[in-house]
Amino acid sequence: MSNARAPQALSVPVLLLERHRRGELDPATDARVRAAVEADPLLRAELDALSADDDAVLRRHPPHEVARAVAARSAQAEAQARPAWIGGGVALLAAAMAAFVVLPRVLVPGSPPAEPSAQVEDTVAKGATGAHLIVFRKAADEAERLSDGAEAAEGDVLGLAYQSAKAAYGVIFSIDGRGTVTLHHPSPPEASSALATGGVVNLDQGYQLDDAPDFERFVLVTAGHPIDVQQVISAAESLSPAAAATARLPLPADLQQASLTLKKVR
Amino acid sequence: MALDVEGLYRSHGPMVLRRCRQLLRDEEQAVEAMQDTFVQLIRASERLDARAPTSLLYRTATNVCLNRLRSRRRRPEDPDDDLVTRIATAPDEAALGGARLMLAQIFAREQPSTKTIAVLHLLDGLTLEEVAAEVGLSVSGVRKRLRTLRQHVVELEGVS
Repeated sequence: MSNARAPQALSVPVLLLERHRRGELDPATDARVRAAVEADPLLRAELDALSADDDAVLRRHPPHEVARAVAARSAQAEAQARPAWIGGGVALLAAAMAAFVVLPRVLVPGSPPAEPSAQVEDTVAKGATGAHLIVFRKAADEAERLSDGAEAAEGDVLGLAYQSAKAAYGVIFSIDGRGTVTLHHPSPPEASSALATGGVVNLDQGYQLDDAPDFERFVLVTAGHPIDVQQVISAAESLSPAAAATARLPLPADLQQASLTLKKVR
Repeated sequence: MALDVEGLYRSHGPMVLRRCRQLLRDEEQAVEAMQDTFVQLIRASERLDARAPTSLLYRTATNVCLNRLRSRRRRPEDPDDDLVTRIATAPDEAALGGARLMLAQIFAREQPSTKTIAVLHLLDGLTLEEVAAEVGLSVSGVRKRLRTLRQHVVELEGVS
């Protein structure tokens, strides 16, 4: 795949124009788009056309009517979803999801103490704020909690959980032996980086290891204030493959870091 | 907190409808897909960053439209349609069968859709860096997803 823009009429993708006109771009990208708009009459015409179309759509499909239709569709979808969960055709799916949700709670019953016991100290990645990152492997009918340095292989299905402790905000991502960074929290990236409180929190997603070599490192970055997710991702990507397994991220000192690295085996 | 659908539609609904029109080329279906996009948002409202909802709405609308395209399996009408339809109907992990893959797909369901990534890059013209910023993956991660999808599309064409 080429990194060049795919051929199209506009020099700036419409998505960026839509975000630009709503003031949702980061300052650097916004400045780039603004300069492009000033230099390109096609882009200015496109922005005018978008504004005109906004008005036309709202006239043709008034907000109160759309809101009512959406509420009706939402209620209908909810009603249709209920019987599906007890249908035989999705029994496996239901069982799998139940296993994923329940098993970590078996591993960490009730509300864990504010400070982890010595027994579990080596199985969690703990930051200076006391926030914990927990990695476990789903195997057959049970989940196996993994400690730092544990072995893992391609195809292993991993789950993630955390305990926020004193940290109000956090970013969780993983980086593999090829330097590929995958964001796990927040999801999607533009969502709030706020961490849930009140004990161990399972991330509602899992992660299947691919054939990336050497290691898979899971990192928890926490702070008492909202975190710039893109800054964290960029810091992770700046690490060389050799350093990515162990090195601290080049981030401001007020961001706490904790990580757990799995050794990849064949 | 309940999602203010009317307010969000007022500020972003026309953009969502434009996206649905672009992908579906059918006004009636586009309006339905636009409404479905907001239904999906109600279900995931805790993920919404009220300060910058455009990206999430745009991606959700793209996903909704790709699912509709896959369902109706229409004949391509122009080159852009052809590209979108090929992406929409390309097999994904879950379609390859097997409980293990099904489980993996369940676990991976919250990850950014590879097909959405492909549309953002191939149809919308976002660079790999821009796509990576939109979906929260590294550039190499986006590249890997696209490579895998391209293999699937080639396999699909090989058997069709």
